[in-house]
Amino acid sequence: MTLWAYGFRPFFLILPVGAIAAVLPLPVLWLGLGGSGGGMPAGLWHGHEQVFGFLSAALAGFLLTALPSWTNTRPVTGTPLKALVALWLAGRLGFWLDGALPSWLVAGLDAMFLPALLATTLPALLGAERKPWELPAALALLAGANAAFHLGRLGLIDLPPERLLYAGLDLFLMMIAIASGRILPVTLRSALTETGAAVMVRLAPGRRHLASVTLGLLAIAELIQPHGPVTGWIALAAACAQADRMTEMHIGRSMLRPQVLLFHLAHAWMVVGLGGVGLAVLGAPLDVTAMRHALGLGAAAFTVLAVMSIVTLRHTGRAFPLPGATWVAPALVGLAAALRVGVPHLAPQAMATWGVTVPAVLWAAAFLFWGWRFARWLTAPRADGQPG
Amino acid sequence: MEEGRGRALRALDYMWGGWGAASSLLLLTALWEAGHAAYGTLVLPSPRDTVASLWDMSAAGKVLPAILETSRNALGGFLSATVAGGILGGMAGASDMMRRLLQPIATLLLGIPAIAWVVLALLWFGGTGAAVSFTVLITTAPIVFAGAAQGARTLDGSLRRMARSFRVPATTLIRDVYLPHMLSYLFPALATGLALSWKVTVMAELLSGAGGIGDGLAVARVQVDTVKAMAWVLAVVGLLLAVEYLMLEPIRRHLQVWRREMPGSGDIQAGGF
Repeated sequence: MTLWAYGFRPFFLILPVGAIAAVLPLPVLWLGLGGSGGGMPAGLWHGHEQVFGFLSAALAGFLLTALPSWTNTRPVTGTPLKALVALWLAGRLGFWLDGALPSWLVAGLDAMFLPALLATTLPALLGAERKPWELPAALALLAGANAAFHLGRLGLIDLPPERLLYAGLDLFLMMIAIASGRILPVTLRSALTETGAAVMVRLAPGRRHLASVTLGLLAIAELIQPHGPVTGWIALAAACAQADRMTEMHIGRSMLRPQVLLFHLAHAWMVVGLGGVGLAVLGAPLDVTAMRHALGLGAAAFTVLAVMSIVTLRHTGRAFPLPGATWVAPALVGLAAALRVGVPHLAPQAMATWGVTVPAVLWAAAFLFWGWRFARWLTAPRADGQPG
Repeated sequence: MEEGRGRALRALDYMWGGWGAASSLLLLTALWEAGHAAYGTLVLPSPRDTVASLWDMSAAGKVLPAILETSRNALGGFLSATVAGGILGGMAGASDMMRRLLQPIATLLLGIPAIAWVVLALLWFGGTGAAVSFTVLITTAPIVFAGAAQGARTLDGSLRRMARSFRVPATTLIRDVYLPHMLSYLFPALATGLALSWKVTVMAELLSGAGGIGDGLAVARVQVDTVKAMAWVLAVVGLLLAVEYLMLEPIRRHLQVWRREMPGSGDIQAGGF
């Protein structure tokens, strides 16, 4: 069946479900329509579902598709792929039933997916001639972070679980920074071709490494001392390193093509979020949770939508240019992020409606639209008749 | 119009490059903050306290006059060193006899520690700005001398002969052949000399009490006020960074146009996902 022919297909298809599910309880709680279902605090639940639920599914779809094409190995398909999707769903089910199920069972259901994903990607990696080891290494750290989240929650280790969410999000940003080194040459090249400009792409690996390393350091710092000044300075350093990278996307008129501008905007969100977190931690009157949303809701979700759209089209045999519909979901998410980041600072009294409910609705609309528009390609065979 | 736009874009590109430098400096600040957390304010005050202290001192009108004083001392010495070192170096490069005469003296001067010059200058000139400028002159002139001598010695004689046979006017010859060549040797020497002159200035000021940033540091030392001392250090560093990135680096880039890669090379083919 076509759906199980390549990793991105099932994961990108169920991803909107996970994305919407991860925000559903928030408006209910903030508007006072119902209480928390017991279990963990709502903020912790939401953070985990966004980072280790939504983003993990996006990562799985990306890695299962990108790694085989980088290493020239056979992709994971069929039954192993079905098993992976089932594990991911088991984790989401566990979190929805949190409170009803014992915490250790929720942990058990959720903690299996990332190690399993790592295990399925390893054979391809080990057999490859050129090993893109950075992303699997980061994936291993991410799996460890999720495991530590549960251990901390169960009280087996002395580590507040929310710190693992901060570190997990930083790890995702780091993976984005690493993966951009592979993605940007393709997108920049296609954008230059589309506008008829001279096709020349020059990326400095040093910029990418600085951007990744500062984010890795931030993950460590947020684990040790999330509200300490050292963390604040590292966050500011990371913000500057991301800003430094944006210059690679300054390619004149071609920058306005979606495959470049979306990444540019995602980077801008990253700069805002990292800079905001840094300043807030160093004592500026900024809402640090709002700033983390600039990272998760702004930077990460923006990148996820851009990458999902590009991967879906390219790997179903449809080349650039990207259809105009690509803009819709990022626009809605961008608006949601602007509200979630801006309202706590400008109109804190309107938080329940404009800071939580409206962004949640926009978020849901974005992923409903994306699912509706792209599902047909995810479930249909490749346009060029090739396998995959 | 088109050229002006290109220049503006290049300037923007250069300023955007500041983010990378800022990232590096902020990581250093994080390390500084960690050192503060480990050893306390007396050993290493926190970055924020230091900035606050610098801010307070600036508001009290102490910092700007000190920076101007230090700049005057440093630039006075540096400009004299440029003139003296440049002329003597040029002579040494052009004439073998002058090279035999001057090279050992320059080597000798380079070998004398700057701190020894401070002591001698204090004895000769007293605790004044002149003592500071003299120290800067005597420590940086040999560096400029070496650069100028090297540049003058390696001037291409056949280029000169070719220019003469094509009847190239002397002004063109100097502007388009000699000057770029000399600058490519002289400029690194000047940049090193300028950077050195600030450090020597602050040191000489500290010992002579002739005012400026060094004097401020001396007072902070007497009062065992680490925060103020760090604030003064921050002022020097700020000054150095401003000179480096706003003055030297743009000039360096302008001079090294010929080193830049030609357009069309360096395209990255890797990638794909």
